[in-house]
Amino acid sequence: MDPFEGFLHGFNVFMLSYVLVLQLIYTVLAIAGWRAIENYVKRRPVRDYRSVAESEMSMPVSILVPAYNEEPSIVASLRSLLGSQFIEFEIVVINDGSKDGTLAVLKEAFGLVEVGRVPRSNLPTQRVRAVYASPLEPRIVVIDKVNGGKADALNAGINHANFPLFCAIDGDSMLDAGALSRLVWEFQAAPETVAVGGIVRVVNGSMFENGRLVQVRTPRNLLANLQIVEYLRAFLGGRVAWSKSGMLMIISGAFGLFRRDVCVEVGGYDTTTVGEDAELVLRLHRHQRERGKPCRITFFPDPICWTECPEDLRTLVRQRDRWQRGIIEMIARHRAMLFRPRFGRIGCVAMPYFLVFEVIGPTIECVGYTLFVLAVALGIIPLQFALAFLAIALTYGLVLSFLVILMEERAFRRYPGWSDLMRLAVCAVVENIGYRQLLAVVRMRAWYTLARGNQHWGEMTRKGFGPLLPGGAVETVEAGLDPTADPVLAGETPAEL
Amino acid sequence: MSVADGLILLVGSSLLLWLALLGLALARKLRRDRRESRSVVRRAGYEAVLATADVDAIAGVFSAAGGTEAQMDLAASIDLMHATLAPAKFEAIGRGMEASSLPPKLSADLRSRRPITRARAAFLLSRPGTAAVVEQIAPLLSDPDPDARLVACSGLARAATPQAAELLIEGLAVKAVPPERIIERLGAPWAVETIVSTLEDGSAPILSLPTNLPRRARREELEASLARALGLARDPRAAAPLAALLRGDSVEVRISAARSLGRVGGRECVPALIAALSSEVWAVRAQAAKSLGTLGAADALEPLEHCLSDRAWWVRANAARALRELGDPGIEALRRAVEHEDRYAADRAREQLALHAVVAARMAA
Repeated sequence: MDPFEGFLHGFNVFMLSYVLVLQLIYTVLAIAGWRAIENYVKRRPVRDYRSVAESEMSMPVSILVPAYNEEPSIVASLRSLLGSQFIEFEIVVINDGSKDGTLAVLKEAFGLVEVGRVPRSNLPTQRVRAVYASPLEPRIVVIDKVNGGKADALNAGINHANFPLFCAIDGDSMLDAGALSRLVWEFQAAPETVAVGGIVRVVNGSMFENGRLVQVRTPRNLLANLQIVEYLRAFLGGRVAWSKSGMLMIISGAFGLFRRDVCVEVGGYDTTTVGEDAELVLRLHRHQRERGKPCRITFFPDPICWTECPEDLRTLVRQRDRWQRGIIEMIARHRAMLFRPRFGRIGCVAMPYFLVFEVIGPTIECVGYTLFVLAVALGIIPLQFALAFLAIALTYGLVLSFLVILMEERAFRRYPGWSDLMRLAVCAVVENIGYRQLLAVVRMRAWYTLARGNQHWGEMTRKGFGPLLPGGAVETVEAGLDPTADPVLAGETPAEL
Repeated sequence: MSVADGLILLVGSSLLLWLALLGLALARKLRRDRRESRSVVRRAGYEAVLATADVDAIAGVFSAAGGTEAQMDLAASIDLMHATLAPAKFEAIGRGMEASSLPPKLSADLRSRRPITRARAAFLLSRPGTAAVVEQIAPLLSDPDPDARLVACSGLARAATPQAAELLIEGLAVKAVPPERIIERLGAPWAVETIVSTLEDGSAPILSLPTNLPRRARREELEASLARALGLARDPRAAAPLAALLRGDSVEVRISAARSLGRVGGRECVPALIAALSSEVWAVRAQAAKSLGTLGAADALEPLEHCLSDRAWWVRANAARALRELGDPGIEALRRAVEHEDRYAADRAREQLALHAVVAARMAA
């Protein structure tokens, strides 16, 4: 065997071990996630989330909505948020120096008036030009500031938030009517809770009426459907289990609830990274552990935030490139936590996992695919072995993808139609053959983007949530998601037991 | 094996696997759809019988609800009836349950080793709100499982008896569940008398619950929680005890009392809150100002105007808002404050006047 063949052979043995370990981890995560969701489904009917939604004793929430050039969708998003079934919340919209008419449409829709609201904390941000309140809808506050990026906008929102909890959501996202009450439940059930993440679902293809989500459907676009399966795998097959074992490192920037005082204490969002959401979560873990304080950061599988996902490859590639840069930066900045027992399972298990399988992993995979094909072509790996290996990998992938589809069907049933199930079933195959490999290449490329010093977010093409409601504030209160669409607030379906 | 044979084998086996998994998913979906359909029909049937207030028929429904699904359907139907039926008719549901063969079975389930079985049994037992179940579900307040404790807490509140109130206060003392979940349930007229007597007693409640729960509330914590509950009850009987708490030593208790007085209302509240505007603690002053605004207390005009130049931002802000809530005299006071030598007082006044102007314009339109 010449040295090159030896290298190929050795690398393929390494790849085989890598794949086996990764699949083993995925299996453990999926089983733990399944068990956690089963437990939750059994307990859900006896949990009185309605009382949390209606109780004057529930912790009030400031919903932070950073908006940059969101003129077409911002009013519909706010009307949807105003329909949240939660007793006390305010919506702090941060107009981050939009170049379009975002501020003008907000002024028009809510009759904004400039007020002198003094910030409650002093996180450094770009200059705040003015603060507006709405006499028509007292729950809305608009901060108009000089552009500084999403993290900077969120920090301005934290400074002006009135309530002890803040919920960071994207300007183009919609919340389920009962989402806040279930996340707040977690904070009151365990006072050491610092942050809670909720599940984010893909809204593409769903039906809207007057800016309200009336029917959830899977889209016709293949790429969007693939992302539905991917999101299900990430949230149900991953984060539930990470959270259960106290090792949750990512709370999606599209939807998470945080304790304001602790976030101010750690300095708010980092404005110098594109993955500010994940970085904040890791910093919270670090800060609390360094000070010997309890730190519960958890994920709740039921509360739902609906968001649009990219339907074209170019936008998807830009989005994933940004996500990957965020993860790389997060691990790099907090590398001091790696393998340090004082940071517990986060430092000794979760971060090493992220380093090996999320940061370096895509590169290993891409090199592995290439060398695997080369080794088969050169006859170093027997064809039978190669095919058996592919068959096992595909089987594993299919089983895991179907497992999360079954979890969704068992616990949440958000995609109720038969055609939805068929589409997801087809995508479970395509996700494992082609899509994952494509994403691995995109994620590997993020190193190159990072090396070039690119800190851009990239543009996201949006369709919005349908036409706006006509009229003013009265409709704004009535609008939003249909409460009957929420299985918990509308009364449990005992058939799920 | 040739490449083509291998690929055919790979594609074929993958296809078979995919079909098998798809079949599994479809079968599960079909089963769930059927269960949900059955559940809808069953609930409609339960609701029809429960609405008749016919004790025998209701007892028949309870006796027949054997499985977990049927029991949870029944519990959901009772909850719906709780919101829609007149109290006299709703009582028939309790009598029907007691006349059925279900309670002994549920009582046995309360001792199950599975926490979720205990929680479900307590959940259904407590839905009709009969006083008889209080003693049965009380031990669950110290259950090792948090959901079982929460179910016991809501079940006791459904019974709404003095004994249930005492147990919930004990639950607060031993921190059986998050305090907010007990306070919101104690915050009702039926619990006021028990809360007031606990506050007047001044000593820690006698704990009859098993003491396996590790934490204990401090006396101040307990009093603050009870003050909050009195506010939620919005019962005039709470005014005097809350006014007394507002004069107490604990800042925590005084803030809760000030907040609750704003909810209770009545003549006794206003002088106590006005006196609290002179407290040395800014949080008490801020809370008192807010409550006076909520009450629309015209007597508080002058002290609130004085608070516009308080040294604490929150007191100034709440006082300005309270003045706006007082109506015309308050608005006049805000207009005067615009010329105030204290820049901060003038800022707050201007802000509230701006809000008032827009609201007034909208109302006029």
